[in-house]
Amino acid sequence: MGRGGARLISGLKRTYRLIITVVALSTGLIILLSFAFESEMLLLLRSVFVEWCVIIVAFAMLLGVLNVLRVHGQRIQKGRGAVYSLILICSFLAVIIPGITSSAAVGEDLSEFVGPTGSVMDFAYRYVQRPLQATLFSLTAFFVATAAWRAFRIRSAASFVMFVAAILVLLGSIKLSVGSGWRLFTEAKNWILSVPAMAGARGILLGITLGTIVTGMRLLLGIDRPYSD
Amino acid sequence: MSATSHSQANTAVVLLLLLLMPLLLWWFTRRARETKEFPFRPIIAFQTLQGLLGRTAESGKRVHLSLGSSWVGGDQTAALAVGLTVLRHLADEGAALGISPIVTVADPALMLVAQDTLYRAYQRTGLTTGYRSTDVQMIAPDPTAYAVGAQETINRETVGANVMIGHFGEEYLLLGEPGAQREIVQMVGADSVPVQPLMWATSDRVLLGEELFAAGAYLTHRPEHIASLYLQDTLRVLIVIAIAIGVLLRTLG
Repeated sequence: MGRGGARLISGLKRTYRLIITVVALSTGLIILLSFAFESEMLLLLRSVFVEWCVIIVAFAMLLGVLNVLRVHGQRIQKGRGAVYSLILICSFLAVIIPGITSSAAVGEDLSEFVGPTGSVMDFAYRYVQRPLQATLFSLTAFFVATAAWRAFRIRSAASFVMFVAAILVLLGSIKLSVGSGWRLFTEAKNWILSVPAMAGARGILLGITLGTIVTGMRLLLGIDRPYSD
Repeated sequence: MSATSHSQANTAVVLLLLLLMPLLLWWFTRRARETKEFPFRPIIAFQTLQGLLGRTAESGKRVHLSLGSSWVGGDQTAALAVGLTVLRHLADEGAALGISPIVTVADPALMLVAQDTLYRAYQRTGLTTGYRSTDVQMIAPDPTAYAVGAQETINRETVGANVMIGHFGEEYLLLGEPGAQREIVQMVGADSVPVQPLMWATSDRVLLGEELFAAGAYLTHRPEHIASLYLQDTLRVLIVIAIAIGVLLRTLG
């Protein structure tokens, strides 16, 4: 390719980058302004953008599903954890096929089983997904215990302070009446939770909020462009 | 204050921020361009990220990057943007070495963005044949399901380091604890306050609070990112001064 061709391609790339940056920035600005001003035009544009977004996300979901099937298909081919991948694909098909089947296509006898609100989907959600989620989430209790055990190993001055604070909070949380002297622990617990812990949490929250605003501003000004180089 | 005047006050604040912040950012960017050395406080998590892929590859293993359970366009998009900055850093390093990180996501739209980031890294090095779209894996849109699915990736013998950047909820421990138990290199940064102590309990390389948003400045050293860090700190100082004045005025009656 000659120098002229390279220059043309570079120019086209620059134009492409400029166009998508302008589109992204103006869309972001319109959405932001629609929250600040009560203009019908801005609200209309916002709702149009949201509709487009929904369509894009629907297509992205389709690609996401294909990605899941591809990843697990590869695992089955390689034989690594093939059983689990096979179960995943079978479960997926068992739910998706009745879910996308139209009730008109199967006749009256089976119509209550199919469709997004059919009894197959309902069963899968109510008796499989929800109990499984609850079970898996309950595992976090054990993980909290092991994480706390590790966190309380005194490795530094900060670990020591955390350990002492945790012990005081635990002792102060005991509800049994074991004499008036125990009130000291309760007061210590209340003080730890409402002064240093609350101050720390608010400080972190403030930092996160400022970080979010500044990062948002960078995205809005096109300094950060995850959609192009 | 009535609803109308409250709405007007909100509009005024938004307008003021929209006008003031770009100006401040521009001014700080100019200053950052003129300054040659930046007094960065050492943050062990960012130090770990430098050359992480290479070190992990030496032991024949790979890096897992979790971009959290948030969605593009949701409330946590800023944390997600930080995750993409980290991904870009790892992808550039990985494309040069021919070993990309394994990226897991919960949002299909984010999957496309992450795949594009990875592909562009390979494109920059001119080695697009090394790119594999399945290095970015969509797990599940539900946070718990995502955490359990990503946990399976972390538990794999081939994973030697675990980087978690983005938004995590209570499901974080399902992701953080297996890595801590396996004692692999683990780095984490999240924008959720309740997750901060859990992060501290599962990793020595933690980005606490706003440190997460310093990723761009630490990893890219671009003047615009350094400027945004200056802006962040300036706003913080202004808020602290405002709080101090408020407390003083209230105390004095």
